[in-house]
Amino acid sequence: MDRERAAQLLESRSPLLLVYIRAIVGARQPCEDILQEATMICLRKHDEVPDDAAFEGWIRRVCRFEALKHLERHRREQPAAAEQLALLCEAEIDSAIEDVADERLAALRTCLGRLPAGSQELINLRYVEACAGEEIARRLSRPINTVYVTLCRLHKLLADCVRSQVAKEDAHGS
Amino acid sequence: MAPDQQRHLEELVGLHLDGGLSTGQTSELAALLAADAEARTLFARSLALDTVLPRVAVRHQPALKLRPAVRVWSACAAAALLVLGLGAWLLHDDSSGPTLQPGSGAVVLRGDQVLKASEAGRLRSADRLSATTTAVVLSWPGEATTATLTAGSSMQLVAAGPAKELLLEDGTVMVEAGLQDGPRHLLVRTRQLSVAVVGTRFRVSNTAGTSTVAVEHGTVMVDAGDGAQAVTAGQTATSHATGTPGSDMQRGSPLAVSSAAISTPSTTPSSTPSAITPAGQPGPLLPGARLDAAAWQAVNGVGWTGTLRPDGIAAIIDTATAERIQTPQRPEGYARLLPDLRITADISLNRPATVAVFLVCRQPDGREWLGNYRIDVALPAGRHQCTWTMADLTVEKGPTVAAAQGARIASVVVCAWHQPVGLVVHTVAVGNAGAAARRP
Repeated sequence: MDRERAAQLLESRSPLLLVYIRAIVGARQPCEDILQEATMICLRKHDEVPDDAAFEGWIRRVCRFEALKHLERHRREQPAAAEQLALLCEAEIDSAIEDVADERLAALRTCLGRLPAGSQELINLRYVEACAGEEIARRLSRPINTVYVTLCRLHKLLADCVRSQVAKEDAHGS
Repeated sequence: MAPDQQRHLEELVGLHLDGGLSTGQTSELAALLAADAEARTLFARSLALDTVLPRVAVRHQPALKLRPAVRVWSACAAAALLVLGLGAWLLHDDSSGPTLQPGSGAVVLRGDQVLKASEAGRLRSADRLSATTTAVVLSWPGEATTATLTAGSSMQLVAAGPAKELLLEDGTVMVEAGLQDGPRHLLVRTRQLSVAVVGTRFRVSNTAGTSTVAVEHGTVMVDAGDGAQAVTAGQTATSHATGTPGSDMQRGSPLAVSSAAISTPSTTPSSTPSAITPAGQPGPLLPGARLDAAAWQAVNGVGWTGTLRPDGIAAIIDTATAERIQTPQRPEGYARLLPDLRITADISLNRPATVAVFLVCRQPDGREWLGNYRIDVALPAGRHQCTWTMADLTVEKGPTVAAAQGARIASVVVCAWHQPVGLVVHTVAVGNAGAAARRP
């Protein structure tokens, strides 16, 4: 595979790969660095990839390897269970990433606007001010576990809302 | 997945998103994912959204409290909604009406419609506005005039502009008025008094029959029914209701003007002063309340969320709207958070769901919001009679249940977690056994 094609495929897969790396590593910031590393490797070793069909598996392996390297560097232990998190959920990640594809972001914005004010404050703290759960818990005087549970439920609410919005738009379009 | 198991999974997923899982917790999460497809979906969904939301989320108006959103209309103020300033009507022009700050958590009642801030556009004369859990800022075009309705407060926009008249029903509004000249007038009213504005900064509070005007800059003319009186910067004017409760406009007591220092009020829900009970005293038992279709009809739905049916109040708990059924907020409280508290509910579900009942509580003296306490119960489809006591409550937000003893239950919220689900509240009753025993 030539370098230009590899870059093209890599660009189209970046959001999914970032999610995939996060399945292993968790926190967002190091995952962006790991994706950057994987990008460098892809652009250096593109000729190891025979064709488009092989690219998907190859780039995921690269990402997994880089993520594990990161964990080993920072935890100094074998993070086999962390790798399992990504391997177990590959199909679900593929599906979840469709809900947040670029063409669905407008629907996601609409759904965000419909959240009650209290939920929007949580969204602001998490995604505008980039606060970790502990900071959100401190600022809202809530138990950290409650913050995590609420965030997960907001994610579900938003995903359901996006699907509903898209279905409505499809119905109008057809 | 059992609710407890799901909650534990959500905690682990949240911790993972922060990069905070220990090796043991990572193994535990992996085991949960391996065992359950629903768990894998939840994990993947949260990963995807937590990754993409920083690109999408934009700052909304800072909110001050978390769920449940308190969609509040003061029921006791319902009669005052018909108070209209005829002079202002003659000059009103809806195209000059104020706009709401984007992302505001306000609820606008326009005729029979209940609108979110984003749906309301420019506000019109006769719109009724409730600040839910956040303060709401109204801005008038072409002039440097804003009105900030603090969280938990409600008012009617009797005339939208350029002649403006605000009827504060409950809570506090802070006004910063640009120069009012030509067709521009600004009148802020409560049931006890009216404030005519030239150009100044002041706030008006109306709680439990007491109206207060505190002036920060300039001078306003305050009329409590016995002639207008100038109130200048640094002064506070107070009037207590003396008229017949429920009348459109109660005559206020003679205006008392003092030079007390003015502090900027918090915009947390209902931080307004109250004459309910002196601070620090436990206060009397409250009579309790039965909240049902009859209670809804008694106030024509003012303050309620949910739709009236012959047999109760209904809502479709929909993923997009996060609807719920909520009683009007009563600052003086329906009952107290005491060991003899009894909460009974008669509710119907069209499918199995986890029903959550929230008690929105104020401090024992009724002055400020204290905390929200909840009960979760998994119920099958059908109609159910449930009874709970204080021992069933857990903290949603605020001090522990034990530390909140004596708090006033100011509102009751019923919602459900499995969505969408059709929920009907036939009756919710809250009361203290001690108070019931005293009834004849």
